[in-house]
Amino acid sequence: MAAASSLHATAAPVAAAAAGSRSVSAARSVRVAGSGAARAGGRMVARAATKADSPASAASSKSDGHEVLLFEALREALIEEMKVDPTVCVFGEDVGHYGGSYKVTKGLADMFGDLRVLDTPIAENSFTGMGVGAAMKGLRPVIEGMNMGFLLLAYNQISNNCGMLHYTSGGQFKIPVVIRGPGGVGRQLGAEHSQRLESYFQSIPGLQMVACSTPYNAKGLMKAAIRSENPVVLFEHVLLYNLKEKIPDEEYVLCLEEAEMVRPGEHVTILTYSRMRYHVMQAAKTLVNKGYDPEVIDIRSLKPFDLHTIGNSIKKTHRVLIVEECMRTGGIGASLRSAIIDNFWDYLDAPIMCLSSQDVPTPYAAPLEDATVVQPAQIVAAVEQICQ
Amino acid sequence: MAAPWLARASSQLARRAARRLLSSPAAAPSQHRLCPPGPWLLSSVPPPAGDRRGFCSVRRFTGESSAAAVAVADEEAPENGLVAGGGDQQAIDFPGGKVSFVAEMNFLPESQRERINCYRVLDDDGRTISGSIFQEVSKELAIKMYSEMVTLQVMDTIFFEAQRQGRISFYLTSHGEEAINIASAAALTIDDIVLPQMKNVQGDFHAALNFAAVMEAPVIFFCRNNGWAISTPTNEQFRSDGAVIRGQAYGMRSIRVDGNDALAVYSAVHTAREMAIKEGRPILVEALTYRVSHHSTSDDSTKYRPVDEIEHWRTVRDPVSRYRKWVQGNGWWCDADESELRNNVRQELLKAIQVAERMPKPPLSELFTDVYDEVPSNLREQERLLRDTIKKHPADYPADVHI
Repeated sequence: MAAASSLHATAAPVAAAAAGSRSVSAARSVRVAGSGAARAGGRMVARAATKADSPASAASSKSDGHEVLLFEALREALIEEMKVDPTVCVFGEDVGHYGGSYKVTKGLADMFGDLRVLDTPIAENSFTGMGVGAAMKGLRPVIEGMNMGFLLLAYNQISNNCGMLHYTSGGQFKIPVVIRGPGGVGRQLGAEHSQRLESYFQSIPGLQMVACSTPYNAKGLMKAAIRSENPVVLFEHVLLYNLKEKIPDEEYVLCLEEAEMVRPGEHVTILTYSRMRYHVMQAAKTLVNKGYDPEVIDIRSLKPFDLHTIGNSIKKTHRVLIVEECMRTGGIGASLRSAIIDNFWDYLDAPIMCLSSQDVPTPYAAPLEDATVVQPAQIVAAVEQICQ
Repeated sequence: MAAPWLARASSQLARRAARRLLSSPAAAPSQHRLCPPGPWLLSSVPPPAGDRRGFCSVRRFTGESSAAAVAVADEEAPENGLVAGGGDQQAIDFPGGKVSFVAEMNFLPESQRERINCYRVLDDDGRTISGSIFQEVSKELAIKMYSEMVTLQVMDTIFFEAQRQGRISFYLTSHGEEAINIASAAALTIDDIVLPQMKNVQGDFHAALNFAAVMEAPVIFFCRNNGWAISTPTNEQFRSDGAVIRGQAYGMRSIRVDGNDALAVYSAVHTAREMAIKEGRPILVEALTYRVSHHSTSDDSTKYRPVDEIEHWRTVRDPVSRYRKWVQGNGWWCDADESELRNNVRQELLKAIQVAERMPKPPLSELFTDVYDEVPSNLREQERLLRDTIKKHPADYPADVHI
């Protein structure tokens, strides 16, 4: 970890700067998604999303809403929940006085005290275990992994304790923890800091997993995760923290198990999550120009999958493309493909395509790193192939 | 407001915080500081604005306790960082505190000349060692402790046999370590939280001791050093002087005790508990003993250690008979009591096994409940598939599992 410690100090500004330069285009695509949904209006809302879930409702809410960056949205959620529930607390490295490596907990220690927003020693397995123990005794810890990759060190606690203690104690112990942090491929953060832990965690029984991708769903999912009685892993992305979006002033909580309709369409169902949503939406622009009408769903819930939303889409389009950042082998895409085959085989007119990263450690060299992440051009080509 | 944070925390930190909460007047707006003194602050003094660099406040970085931080809040360090020590020695400020200089290169030896002493109260024949200091026990408590030790002994024998007969799948006995199990528990109260582990020293141990010391948590770390980790003797596990020596490395008070001496174990844990509560600090207790039993029912320890060594510890060094001698020596126990107790315990245990064996096996639904707070749709689906399969092929599944 010695090399990693110097990265900790630089990763934040590098990632933030990188995300910052992305934020304009990314934010624009977020707004496109929002207005796209408003155009589709009736159909989108009728998808059984509750009023609170639908981004369209943000535009139609009584007050104007306020603009936030994604990390601020997460922070707002934390503050709101910590204000109403004294059992909610935060553990992690540098979350207290420093305010978190990605500023998600900035100012929280001043507001709630540095015992309730606790700086832990550098021992992920141990402070995750501490969070589990605290949860067993009635607290609701939000455990931050400074980078999701570091939580590999806490795998024992996450699997054996978070995931299983409710079961092995015959329901006597609840583990209502939220485990959160940034993952995914950043900008030259190196192989060990560019991991997709959702691949590794998805098998753990008793765990729930969600991935946020916009300020709106980040806040809503964080609140839902904190309120859940189950252990929830909330995947954030290193490059999405500076996304800007207007979110409602009123309180809202999203459903952990629901997927998000980003762009309704007729020709193909594109399933994606986290940062790849933006690559998909960028590809969607090109596809629309070429005369295609893709339906884009941000699956958000990685465990369990929202097969209701996904199924309805497949029954309409009969073609599926999965776009993920996970590696080819054993990723979320692999499981999703399998679940779709199990449930919707009869509705498919073409084999399910899945675009993933290769089964390689993420390279440090920038052009190689770019080549390991699915790019919009690949997505366009894949849709063209599926829709032949 | 924050009842859980006050009510359940018995550490010095929380009590200090409570006193501040009760005594501090409401802050006037003009007195508002960057970091208003609330009860939930680990550091009572906020760091000066200029020191808000890096990963934590300078004050905590210098390793000073909160109380000391308050005391030296106004102290100014000299410009050049050098502080005159006594005579030729100089001391310098580094993060972590002042250290003195020496001009010679001195390596700390890897081990001390003498091992840390071991606290014991009863000699091998169950007589109190003259001059020994220990926590007095009443006749009632003494007999209760002894009865529980015998119960554990009988239970281990019966259940080991039951495993060999195929009636249970697995068992671990505590032969030779009964004093540790019972006497340590006897020194605690029903409200204390006990987290027992069958855990050979892992990475978590070190981080836990470190955390507890830093956070001044009222915890007793009880380490049972029975000489073995399955087949690996302790000298192949670590080269330090056992576990007790690690206490100091983590800034924690520690004691080594004769684990086969029930009175010593009781006294040490009793005192450790008082310290932990009154002083808000963790304590490490290392109990030395010998694992007479095999590691588990899956182990045959005669493969890796001499039989006569096992016999020696099983007989001559048996903690149960040693303590019994002390209890009998006080006139609190006799042979008639002994046979009556052993008989009763045995009958009780055999009956318990019969009752347990007759209980119905858990139904199939239990496979899926308590994975989450409520059974989600994917698990309901998996349960349905399993039921269907069992209905179609009943002969391939155990008959006594209720569908």
